[in-house]
Amino acid sequence: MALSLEVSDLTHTIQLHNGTQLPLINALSLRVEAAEHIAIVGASGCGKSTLLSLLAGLQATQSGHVCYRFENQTFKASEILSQCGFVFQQFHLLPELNALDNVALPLQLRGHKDATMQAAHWLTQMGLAKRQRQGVTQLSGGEQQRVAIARALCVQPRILFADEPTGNLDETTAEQVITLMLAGARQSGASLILVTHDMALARRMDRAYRLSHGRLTPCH
Amino acid sequence: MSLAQTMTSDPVARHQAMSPIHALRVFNSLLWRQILQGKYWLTLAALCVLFVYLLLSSLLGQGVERFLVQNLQSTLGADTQVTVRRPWQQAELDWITTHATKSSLQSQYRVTLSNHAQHQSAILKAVDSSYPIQGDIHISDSHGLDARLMQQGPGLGEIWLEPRLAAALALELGDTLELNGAPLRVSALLLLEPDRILEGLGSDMRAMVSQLSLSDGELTPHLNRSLMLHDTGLSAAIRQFQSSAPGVQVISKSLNNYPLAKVWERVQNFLGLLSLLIVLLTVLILWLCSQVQIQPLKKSVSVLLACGMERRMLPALAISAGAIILILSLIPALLLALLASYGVSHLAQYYVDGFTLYWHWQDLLGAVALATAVYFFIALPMWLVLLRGDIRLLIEQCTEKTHMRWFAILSPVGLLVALILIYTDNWLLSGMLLGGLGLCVVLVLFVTWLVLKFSGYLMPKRWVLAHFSMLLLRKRMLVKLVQITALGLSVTLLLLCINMGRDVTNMLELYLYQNQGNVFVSRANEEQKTALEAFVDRYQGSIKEMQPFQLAQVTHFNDIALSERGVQPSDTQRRLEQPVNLHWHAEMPENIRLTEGSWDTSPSQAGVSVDHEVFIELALSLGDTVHFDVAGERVSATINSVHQFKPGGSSVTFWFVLQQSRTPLLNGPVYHMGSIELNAAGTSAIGGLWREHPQLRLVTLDALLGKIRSQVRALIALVMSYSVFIALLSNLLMVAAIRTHMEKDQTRNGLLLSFGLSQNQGFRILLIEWLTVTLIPTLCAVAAIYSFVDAFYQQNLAMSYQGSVLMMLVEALSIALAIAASGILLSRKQLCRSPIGLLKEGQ
Repeated sequence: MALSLEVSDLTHTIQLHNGTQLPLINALSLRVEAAEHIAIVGASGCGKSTLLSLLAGLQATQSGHVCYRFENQTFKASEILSQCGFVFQQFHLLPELNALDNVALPLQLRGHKDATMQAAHWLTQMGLAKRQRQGVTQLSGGEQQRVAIARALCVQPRILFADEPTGNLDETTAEQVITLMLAGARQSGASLILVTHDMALARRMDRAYRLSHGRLTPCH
Repeated sequence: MSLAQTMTSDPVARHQAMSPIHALRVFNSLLWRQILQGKYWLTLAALCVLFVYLLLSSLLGQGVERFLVQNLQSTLGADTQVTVRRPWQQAELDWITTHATKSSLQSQYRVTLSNHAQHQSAILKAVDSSYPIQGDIHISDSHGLDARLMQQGPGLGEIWLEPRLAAALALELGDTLELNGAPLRVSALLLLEPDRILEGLGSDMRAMVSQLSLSDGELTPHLNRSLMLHDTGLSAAIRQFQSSAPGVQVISKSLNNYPLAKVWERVQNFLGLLSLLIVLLTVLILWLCSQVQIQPLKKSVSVLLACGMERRMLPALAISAGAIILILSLIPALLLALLASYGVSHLAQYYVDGFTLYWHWQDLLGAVALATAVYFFIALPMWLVLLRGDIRLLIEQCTEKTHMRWFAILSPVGLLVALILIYTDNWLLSGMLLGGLGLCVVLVLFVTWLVLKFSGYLMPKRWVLAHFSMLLLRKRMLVKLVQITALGLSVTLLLLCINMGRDVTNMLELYLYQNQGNVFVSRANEEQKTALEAFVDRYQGSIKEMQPFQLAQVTHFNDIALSERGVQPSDTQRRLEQPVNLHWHAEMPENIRLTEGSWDTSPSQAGVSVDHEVFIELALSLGDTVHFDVAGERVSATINSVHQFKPGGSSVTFWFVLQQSRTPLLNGPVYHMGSIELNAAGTSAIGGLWREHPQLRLVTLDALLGKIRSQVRALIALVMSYSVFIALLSNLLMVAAIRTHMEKDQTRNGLLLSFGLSQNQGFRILLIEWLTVTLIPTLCAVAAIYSFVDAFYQQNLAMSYQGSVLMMLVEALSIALAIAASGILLSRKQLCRSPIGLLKEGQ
């Protein structure tokens, strides 16, 4: 069963300090098919993260449509959050929980009785088997990002959003993390929408777009 | 059908539907971890104190209040006393009969009682067979002065004399004296009547007879009184009666003008104010906590939302979080309140009669509901933000929209106004307090703006760090304003509490009559005084005061004989027909104040100060000469001043005080008047002393003073115990204010250190910053309090504010410096840590 994304005429502006409106997204349209992996690249501050938040339903749209189709039914972005995984640039792990509990969190939310076991499995997949009881604040940036990816993938999302997942990592760690994330997404058949400024990474996706002046143009 | 449901119908469904139970379970487990990590201790502590206060008030409040009011009202010996200083009119007696369920009539006469050659003026109380209608008469059947309680006055042909009157007349129990030719047998010594407090602790000697023992018309009473018991709800009728019957004095529980009623009213007002302050302080603490401690909760919920939790589950989460926080603070509070209330009631049963613990489940539930409402109202803005805000902004801890920020600021104000609307029964008090606090906020905002805006122009340019500190404060003005305002409010409340608590306690202590012993000695010669001193030593008591006097007969004013002066006949003039106590003192005694003239001790002319009432009733003028006959010798003095009793010191005053250090008649007999404080063993043995010196004139005031003192001590204890809550909450508020600062400053301190600032420079910045954020609110608090404190005292406590602005300033600065020192100490620890650690934690 396929979950596809359709974006049409999406516009989003922000208000500057002096009161003027700056359009970040301008009448943007996009279609992402099930299990398709796409990348969005662009300069810093061009609105990549905002676009991702709008697509994932983490932020309300101002105008235009973001909808998901599944079995001939249409859903708003805010309704598909339970089917999504999200990897943030700043990880956003809960400091009061250890790595295992952070990963188990979305599984427990869904009432999985074997949440901890599944979480341990995903952490092992991410190469963190020995650090799963460690407090997240004691982990390195790369380790924290791997915990965040495990948290996003463990619910086997139909669509995975990743916002600069390697932005804070060194080259080697970034490669490890991205390999794990792509493998996880392929394994679960999830669509992947990735925001990055790394063109090399973007080229590894099925399609890549550049966000500029609020519009997406294909990258070649 | 929802997407989750649709997808679970998928044969290869990988998602289970998210149920509220699972969301709640995960959220509660997260919250519990945060609680165990101590992230909510301040909120829990503040709520716990509020719960303890509210629960204790519910458990003990009714019992304590009922006990105090009943005891204070019992000083009347009736529900209502109606007094006339003329014969009764039939309409007045009819009104009394109609409205009273039980009543008693009494008349009081100024008489001179005689026993052979002994004569003594006294007040004779003639009572009917219904007397007393409330309480007991304390009498003694022996010289041992052991009290026996009587529910009826003397029988026909009997008279009860106060011990010193019996001494003055040299009468023994069983002896007979004549009053207008009728023989009266001394059947007991009169110690105390239930309506005695109203008649004060005067030096008039007292006796009691049955009305039936007096022949009609032979004596004219100077006072007629009716004691009434009646149903409640008569206040309007009593007021109407009082206004329609001229010359009638009504003292009634219903009119709230019984002895100590004003004291109780002040205490009640003060306690009411403290209750208001306790709720106010809790709201402030919770609000400040919500600024800091809300972040972990907000982050957890945001992450859960990002992990797919639906927003419609948020109300359940909010209720669950509230319930957990409230239950965790309620359980220890309930245990503490129960223990404390049982402890208090247990102690009270030992020390006071009639104290009962009143259990009112409705009140307890009301207290819990109030605290719950306070918490939910403070937490509401955060949950609204979560319910309506973008998840991305929430998770990135971005600043909320302006209208939500205003809502978060105004919600505690709205809550306070709502609480006052619902609970206050003293609008003036609440209004004045809120007005004062409002003034403080306005002052704080204005002065902070002024200082931050213009301090740069006033400081020399070489003060680089000071300029930099002010710049930092200016750039973070919004964050700092929250803290400065909170500190301003807390210092205002604390100062107000300290000052009012001290003044109310001082006022109450006046009513402990600490300078007044429990045995009053109205006349003791030198030999008796020596015996008395030895007795006091034996029983480890203390002589509170002993004032010397000589017996003096006023003979002439300005060479006109007393009897020939053409003034209106009065009690004073009649009293002056007998010798009075002539006192002398070089300096003005501390317990009087002059209403006219001056204290003149020039040796050229003997001066005398005259009591104000005597001065008025005898139509005297300054400069008049008074001639006394002291033991047959003439002593003359010029009236230099007029004096009045000033409460707070000794209770012994004299009508005539010679302004000199020497005895008026050097070789004349000198007596002493004063009071001694004896313990229980001493008071029970006083009869022995009296048997050895039957002419010693003393009266034990133990029962009378004991009653007043125990009530006033209970009031002081009540005021003190309320103050404990204020002290606790004030400290929590300060910690909350400091912590708000600390958490928000962590990142800044990390950044400053990363810029290469030395620890010493960092410390100087901290010093300047903390002094600014503590001194501004402190000075504003003093200014705000000073502007309304006098009116506040006058309106709410019927007292004038006696404190000095300097003293208040010293107190305020001490508080400010204590806060600044704690803040600097805690912040300094941050400067000793690595910048990266600070930045990481501050995120």
